[in-house]
Amino acid sequence: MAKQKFDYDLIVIGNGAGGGVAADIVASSSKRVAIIEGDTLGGQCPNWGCVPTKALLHAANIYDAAKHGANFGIRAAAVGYNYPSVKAWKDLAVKRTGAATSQKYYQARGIHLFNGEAHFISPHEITVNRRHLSAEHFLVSTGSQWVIPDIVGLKNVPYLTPRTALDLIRPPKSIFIVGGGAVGVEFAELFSIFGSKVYIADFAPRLLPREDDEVGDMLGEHFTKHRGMSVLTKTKVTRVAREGIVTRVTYVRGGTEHTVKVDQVLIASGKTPTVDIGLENAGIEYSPKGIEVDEHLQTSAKHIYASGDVLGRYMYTHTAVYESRIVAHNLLNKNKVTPDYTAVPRVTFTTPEVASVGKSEADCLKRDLSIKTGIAPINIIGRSNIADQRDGFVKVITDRKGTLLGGTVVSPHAGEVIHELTLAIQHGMSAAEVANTLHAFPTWSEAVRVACTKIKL
Amino acid sequence: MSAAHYVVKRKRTHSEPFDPLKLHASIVAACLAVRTLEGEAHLAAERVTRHVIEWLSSKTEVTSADLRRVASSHLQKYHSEAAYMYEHHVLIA
Repeated sequence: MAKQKFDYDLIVIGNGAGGGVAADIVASSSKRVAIIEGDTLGGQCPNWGCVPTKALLHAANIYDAAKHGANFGIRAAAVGYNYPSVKAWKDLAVKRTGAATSQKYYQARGIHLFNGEAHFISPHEITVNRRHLSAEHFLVSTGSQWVIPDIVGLKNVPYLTPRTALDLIRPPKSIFIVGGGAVGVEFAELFSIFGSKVYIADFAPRLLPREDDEVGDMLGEHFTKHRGMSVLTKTKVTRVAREGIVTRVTYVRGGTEHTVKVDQVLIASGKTPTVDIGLENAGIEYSPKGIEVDEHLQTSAKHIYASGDVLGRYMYTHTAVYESRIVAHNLLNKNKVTPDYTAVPRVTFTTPEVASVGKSEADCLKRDLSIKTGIAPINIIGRSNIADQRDGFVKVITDRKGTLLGGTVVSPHAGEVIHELTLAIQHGMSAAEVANTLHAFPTWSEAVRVACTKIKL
Repeated sequence: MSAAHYVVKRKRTHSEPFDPLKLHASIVAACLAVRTLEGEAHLAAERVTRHVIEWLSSKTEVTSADLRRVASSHLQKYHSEAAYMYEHHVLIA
């Protein structure tokens, strides 16, 4: 029987973190690979996600630290900022990732790039700008998009999304942020540092509702006391309307209707996988929560894999890259591997930073696991005294035998500190083993050791 | 309606420009088949066609199966019985 011929061995739909890595690895094995990208090369993270937001936050934190230098004898009366220059810094950081100009790199690797929206028209064929391309295998890594909530009047008023908020030419005088998740709180902090009056609302009883209770409570208090924000938890935004140059936002909190007038409204109420690419025509099973895959990241059509945000599991760059590598391995090898999500770190870049890994306390309670917790406030360690940063804690969760299951760090540089716990959880270490490991004085990581010593068997 | 949107036909032998009138007529036919008032049928068809045109705005080429699926999911909101008919009776139009 004649072998079925295809244009490519692999077509990757989406050039974000979940797609580019696999394309690169597979192409290096002399396979014919094509990438289809409907937006900017590199996808969300380097262009309008992690990189630009963290670049803006970095500038904001420098400004904030300078403003509060008086405690350390630093005169800061004349500190100011020029937002277009701050934005230029952000643009430079984005440009330096090289993502948007990676076309030459891919061409040099023999990977064909197509710019346009891909749409399956059959299990082995897609259409891109009316050009039909076929492949033996596909990787769907179309990422996710922001959910626009059903708020009365929202269609008739101009509003920001986390993508468009990056291109503001000046911080708004006041802003109402819908969504108290990681992205919402990062933008809240950013605009608050640059002087905006910030309202941040979420239906959940605290900010960062996916984290342990203590995290959201502490961050809410920090935002209210130190940043002057209005933190509106247990709040439902019901209506928005334009009034001249401002937007009137109506929300219900505690059974009472309130109204505020703000310059801008930012919608940051979560993301949903991008699945509208004709998956039905390829026989791929999916739900609005994402594409369903097996343990090898194969969809219900076995020649089609999926990775990254489109799976609806962990919407992080590092998990997307990890899954992309797994897919590349499984495409090239007979012994297929399975992703291991035991220790997925996640970081929210506020001040203090919030980082966590593994299971949260709520996860453990849902699974009816018998657990022990150890908490160390950061104000008991030397570094806290030196840096004059008092708010924060480290919390570790173990099973009954003391094996680490999860951890949360709320402190400066928590995003770095968390990786000690990530390593420990990934390799099944006990809290005692971490506690018995020397930690340098004076570092934030000492709080991890102290929290681990609080686990008593 | 822009002619930039093409529909790949069922047997994939060719594609043709998307014709909103054809879609409208097929939805009206589905509604009338379940004894809907003619005015109501046209109203539902108009709404569904508008939704489909909006959905098509980001696409250059889709399959006729895509059109059927998207149209029936919207028709479901306005007339569930007609939506069932539209989805399951391929040759209704």
